Amino acid sequence: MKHHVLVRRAAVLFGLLLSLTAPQGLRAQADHTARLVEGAKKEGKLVWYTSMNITESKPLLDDFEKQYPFIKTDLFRASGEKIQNRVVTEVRAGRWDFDLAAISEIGTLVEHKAIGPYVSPESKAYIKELKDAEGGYWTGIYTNYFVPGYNTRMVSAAEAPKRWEDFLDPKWKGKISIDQEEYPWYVTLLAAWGKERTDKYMGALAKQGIQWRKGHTLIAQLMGAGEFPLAIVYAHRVESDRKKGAPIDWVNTVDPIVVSVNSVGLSAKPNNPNAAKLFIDFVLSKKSQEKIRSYNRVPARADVEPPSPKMEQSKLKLRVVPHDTATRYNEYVRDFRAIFGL
Amino acid sequence: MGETLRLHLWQHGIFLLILFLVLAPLAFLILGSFSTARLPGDFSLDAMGLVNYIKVYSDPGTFEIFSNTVIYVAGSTALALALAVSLAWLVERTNMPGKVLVYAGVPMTLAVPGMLQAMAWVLLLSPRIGFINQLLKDIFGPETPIIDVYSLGGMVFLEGLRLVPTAFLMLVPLMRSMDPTLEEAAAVSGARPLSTLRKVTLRLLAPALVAVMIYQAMTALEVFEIPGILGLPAGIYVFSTKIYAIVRTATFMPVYGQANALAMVYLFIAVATTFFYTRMIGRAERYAVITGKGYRPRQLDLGKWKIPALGCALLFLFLSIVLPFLVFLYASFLPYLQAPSWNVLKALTLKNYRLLAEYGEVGSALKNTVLMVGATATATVVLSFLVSLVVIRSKFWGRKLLDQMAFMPHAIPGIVMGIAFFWLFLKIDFLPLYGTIWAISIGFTISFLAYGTRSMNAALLQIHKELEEAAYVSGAPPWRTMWRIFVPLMMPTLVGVWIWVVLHAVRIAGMPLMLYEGPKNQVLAILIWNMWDEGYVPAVAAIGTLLMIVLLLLTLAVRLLGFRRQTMQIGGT
Repeated sequence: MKHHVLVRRAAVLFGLLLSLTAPQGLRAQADHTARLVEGAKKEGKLVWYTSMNITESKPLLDDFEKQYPFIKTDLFRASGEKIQNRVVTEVRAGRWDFDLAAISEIGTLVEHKAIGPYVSPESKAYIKELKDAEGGYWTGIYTNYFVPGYNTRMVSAAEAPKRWEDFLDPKWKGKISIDQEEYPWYVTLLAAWGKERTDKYMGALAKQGIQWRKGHTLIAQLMGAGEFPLAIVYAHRVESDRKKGAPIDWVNTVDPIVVSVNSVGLSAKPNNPNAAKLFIDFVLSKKSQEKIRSYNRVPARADVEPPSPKMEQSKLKLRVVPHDTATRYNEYVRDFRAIFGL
Repeated sequence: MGETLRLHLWQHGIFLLILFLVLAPLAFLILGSFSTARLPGDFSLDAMGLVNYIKVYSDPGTFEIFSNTVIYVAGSTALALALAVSLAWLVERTNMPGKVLVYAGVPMTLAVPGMLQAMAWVLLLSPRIGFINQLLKDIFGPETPIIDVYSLGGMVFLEGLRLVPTAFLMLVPLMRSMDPTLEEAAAVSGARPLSTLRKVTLRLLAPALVAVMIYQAMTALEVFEIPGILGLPAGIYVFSTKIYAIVRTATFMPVYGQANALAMVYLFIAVATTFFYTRMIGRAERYAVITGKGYRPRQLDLGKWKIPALGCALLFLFLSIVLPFLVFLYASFLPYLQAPSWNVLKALTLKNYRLLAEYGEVGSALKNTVLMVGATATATVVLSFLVSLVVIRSKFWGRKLLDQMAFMPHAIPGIVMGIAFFWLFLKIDFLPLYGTIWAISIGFTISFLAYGTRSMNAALLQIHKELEEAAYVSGAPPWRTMWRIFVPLMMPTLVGVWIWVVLHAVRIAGMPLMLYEGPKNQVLAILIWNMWDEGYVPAVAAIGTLLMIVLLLLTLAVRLLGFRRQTMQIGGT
């Protein structure tokens, strides 16, 4: 009996999906937007929690307000970790202040039932790795690539490490800087390489006299200033400083390039659901994604080119940071700190 | 008798207020340290145990950091105290020229975030890119032994410099209102300036010095910016970085319980030291120097030492203010971080300042900041004054406990405190405080109470009882005594505390970050913090440069207005 209902529901859903495609699809999207606008006019408000830099999130929000002047927006900007804690704590206390959250750690919010499903019409333009294709709980806004970076005055392009293993060369001893909380990188390598290979690699890396620092932006800057020749960096950060003339570059041949995805999700109990959905559609749209590219970020949307051809999704061996339960994650963190004696 | 009753009511009122304000975060800290729940919000009396303690204190790493911490805290506190006492003494008790430079310069670093200052010293003294090190190598050859800022010595030096302004601000008013009779007596008996300083001035100041020392040692113990930026690359951990690491270890859900268990050491130290301090000030009259006699503070003639003294003061100013300021100034015009060279000059840009103006939401942030900071500073001054009055001047049964409580918030790490308030305001949602600047203001007031009461205690100890007794005998009611005797005599301290709170409230964002919500209560501190979090040194340097300039103007203004009036009052009695 139950099965029948499920099958029938799936069929209806499938039919709905079909009806969304091609010419009809366009009209459907226009209807969809019109409905949201109508609802949003009554709400008149939007609260967005994000870990996106204020210099980037604010202009996006300004554009949104320009497009929908009847919505007054509120922005709360903090690190992903802080937002995650804040949302979980607020929600436990029964306080639903946020309509939207955009952080890399969105999986935790889904796990704590703070995020509800919403499949934006725009999400069709996103590859399955960069959205929650099953549950529809989140869609990527932009991605961060964890890659090897180097100071071009101290290291030639030929000499620069091509694979993660090249970090183990004795000549780099004491010359590599890594963020002391490089957990996503570690977790992803574990998933990609398996435990044995990763353990062996990390054990050898730990003997390289790592220059620990805190913060990827800081690391990229210090690398540019010559504090150390090599580091694990964010590709977009290097790209952006390189364009300003900093003597730094990055390597796109490592396997895998670890990718964290800053994703947007709708609150499970939004106060302003229509405005929130409008914003999700807006931020996933081609125009907004192009704006994100102008920040030298790598937009998640497949049909928007990255700021540099070197970052093309299809040409690289990308691996998205896997989501894991908090307990498992804490174990990884403990292992990472134990391996490196932190 | 009705008078006495009212007096008691008033004291109980203060006691209960502080009890309530301090108890909330304190209970959070203590209960949280036993709680085995993952999230502070999941706290339940069923899930309690010693797990956190066992985990933290059975870790051999905890004891490894112990000796580092002792060296770091003792070293930086000693350095700071020596510098602050010398500077305060030079400007208040001697005829050293150029005092205004010291008055205006010393507090300047207060508004600069510790992280930024640490970065400035990395750019100056890193063994690889440090400007000073490069210069040394250029002059003396590449084999020159270099100064490595990534060391325990570097941490002591920098934290020592950072602790000076607070100690200086605490000591200046006390040195100022000291009756010079005793010093003069010493001078007349042929004591030399230095031994007068040691045997008379410092002894009279003993309670103040101990208060400053306790307070600053706690600060050094707690601050994690300097050890974080200078210690981490060298693998040197201290207590505060360990707590920070634990809180951050599990990025996906921090283990606050363990951090709390570690932070209990702070609480223990705080209780032990304040207990010692309270015993010391038990014989308060010994330290009273402001009596009913009229006097004019007279200054010691330094003679031929005038110029060397000024030289030392200037050297300090150069190291702690001018040098970092030049680094900020330089970095703030950079398109990206780089060591100084001739090529750099061509690439300088105003972009970072434009960025601030563009994204700063300067309008609302400024208004909110002024409101928040003004309210916090005023509340801290009033509350600290009343608390100290009870602690030092009354026979109230709970005065020692009150003093302990007022100091305790300083022993609670900012990060734990922030979460405690976050949770508290979330719980008491019948008061519309959550997510407002008033929440930030309350949180700040409580944590600055420690500083406020330390300063006020010391200042009150200086005022001899005969003054209020005279007022009492002439039939003045207590509030009038307070208003006409204590407030004017303590004006330098009141003003000093007010400024100190303003400077700190502008700078510290760890706590407001947890408490604010949305642009409607955006304050400058959060803006600075956001910029820092984004990690772009040139942009943060631009903020640092502007803050230091504003601060210089502010201290100059206050010095011209507030302090001058005070001199006239004391001098004219």
